[in-house]
Amino acid sequence: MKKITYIQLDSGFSKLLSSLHKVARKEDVIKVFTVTSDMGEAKILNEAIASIKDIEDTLVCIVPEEAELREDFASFVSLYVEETDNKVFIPMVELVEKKDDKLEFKGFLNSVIWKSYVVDSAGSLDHDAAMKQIDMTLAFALIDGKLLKETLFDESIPFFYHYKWLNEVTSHEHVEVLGIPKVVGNIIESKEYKETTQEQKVEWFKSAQNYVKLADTLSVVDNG
Amino acid sequence: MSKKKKESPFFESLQKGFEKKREASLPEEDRKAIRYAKIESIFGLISDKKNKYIFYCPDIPFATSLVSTIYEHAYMLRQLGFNAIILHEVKGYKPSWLVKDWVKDVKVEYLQEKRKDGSFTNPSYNFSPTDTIVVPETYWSVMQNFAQDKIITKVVLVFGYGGLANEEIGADWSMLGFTNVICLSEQLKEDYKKIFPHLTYHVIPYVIDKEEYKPIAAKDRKPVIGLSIRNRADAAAIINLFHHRYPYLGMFEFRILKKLNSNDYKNSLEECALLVNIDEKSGHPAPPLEALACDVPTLTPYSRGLSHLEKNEAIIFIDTTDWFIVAETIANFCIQWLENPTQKDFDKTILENYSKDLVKRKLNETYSELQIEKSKVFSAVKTAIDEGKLDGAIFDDLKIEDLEEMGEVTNIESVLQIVKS
Repeated sequence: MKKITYIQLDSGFSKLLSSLHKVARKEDVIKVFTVTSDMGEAKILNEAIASIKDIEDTLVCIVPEEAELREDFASFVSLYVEETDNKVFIPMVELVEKKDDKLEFKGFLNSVIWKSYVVDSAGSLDHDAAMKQIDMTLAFALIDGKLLKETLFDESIPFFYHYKWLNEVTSHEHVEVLGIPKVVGNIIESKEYKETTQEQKVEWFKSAQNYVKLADTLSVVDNG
Repeated sequence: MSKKKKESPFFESLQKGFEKKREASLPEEDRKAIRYAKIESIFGLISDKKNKYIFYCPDIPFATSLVSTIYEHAYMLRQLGFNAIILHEVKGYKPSWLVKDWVKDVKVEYLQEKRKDGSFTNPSYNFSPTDTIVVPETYWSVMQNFAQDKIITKVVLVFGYGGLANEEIGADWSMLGFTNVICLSEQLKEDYKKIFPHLTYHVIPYVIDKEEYKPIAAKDRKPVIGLSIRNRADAAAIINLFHHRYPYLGMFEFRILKKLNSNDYKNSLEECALLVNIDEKSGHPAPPLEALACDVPTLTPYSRGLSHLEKNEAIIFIDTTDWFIVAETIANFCIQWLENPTQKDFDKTILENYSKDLVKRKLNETYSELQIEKSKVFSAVKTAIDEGKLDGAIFDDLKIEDLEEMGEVTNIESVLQIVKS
């Protein structure tokens, strides 16, 4: 397995690498700030990825702010990860809500990858399922650095940039997005876009899908 | 050895009738000689294991361990040199779900045929006095057909407790002449022995092939719950209840394992996170053992058919089949499973009792005992006839073909010739 580089998203207020310091060596963690910067999250991530020297020999793992990752993460996922070229490994993630400093269970993310009535083959995210954008997140996923180098996060789409990236990579036949059917940590439900209107979110959602529609149109032109 | 000429079935039956009539018209002295020759030939048949062991096997269209065990036992007996035959109801039936290379090597015969107009011929089969009929315990009506047959050896093959539900009230198998009982487990043997202590018991299990059923890597295990539930409504209710009450566990898929062919069953079972087995009527269920071989834990209500697995940690016993409690227990398991990186390596010592070698050895021991018993019976009969205490007419139905298998005789004349010489 390639080495894992963790990108920790941090607003500056959370405890320093609260769980990550137990998981990874300091030199394997890139800490990026979200709130103190006027840049969007996608742009920050793109810059962090660009700063990784040996990106093609790296598996990138995005750790959202205040997220908790299990201590044995690296050895845990190594049971499920073999060949890593052009692959994304997506584990189950627990979604929690912070209420009065207590964490309340909300559900599991990335479960759709195991629903055989949604995906073609349970455990593998195909393009059609990715397009539905049901409950996927790239948090804690192990992403082949080569794929991140080739396909950047779309900085123009807030909130849905994970989905757009998955839509894009699953449209390539050589890329495999595989599930790990185990929970590796929890993330706190984002309140960042709580005030955003539903109409705005729908617009972002459509933008995230737009890439594929455009690609379809191009392929028709190419064939014609 | 004379080569047997292949004749049409009609011609053969005509010839048999003719032979029988001719035999009846012979002088008493010759008839006695023929009977004597027949008895003598029986000892040859038995010592050469050419006498038939006929397993009555119902034409069940879906996967069931009753049919697969009968096929497995018959196949292994043939490997051991016994003349084992499976007797199905209607010609053409095949357990297509039993996907094993060796099935083609099992000899199968049928009781009746379906005509082109959709009607059926009358069920018939020519039994010989040297034959042994083996009938599963639930088929009391089949056993009844052998009630009048005094010389054929009759064996009950016990899979569970269905025998108690299907026999006539107050009756037992020995009333129909079935005095030998082969049970799949010690528990079944002990239970039936308490009820029918006068019968002779043997134990031969089925095979759990460790080469076939083995653990797969953790990464290949899926959030799948296998269901081996006798009652379809129970299965549907548990699935619905689980998904409605625990929607956040929607990544778990239920897979009904009953009625899959043997390959699909094995492939599905080994991928499972958990097997739910609800089949209290089963006397010695195979799925929990097969799951154990694959390191898949089993959730099941306790039944006496599972007493051998009482202390095995691969089995999660529940006290009830209450749908809500079953669904809740499955949900609790699922949450633990999601957090646990690896599967447990369960103690599989018990599977040694189901190895191919052991089953083969037990088959050989038991059926060899039946052979010895058969020899003793015919020795006693011969002595009784020699001493004039028994009329040898009981052998009149023994077919000449049986003697032909000895490689010596082809018809009455040659029998007489041999006897007289």
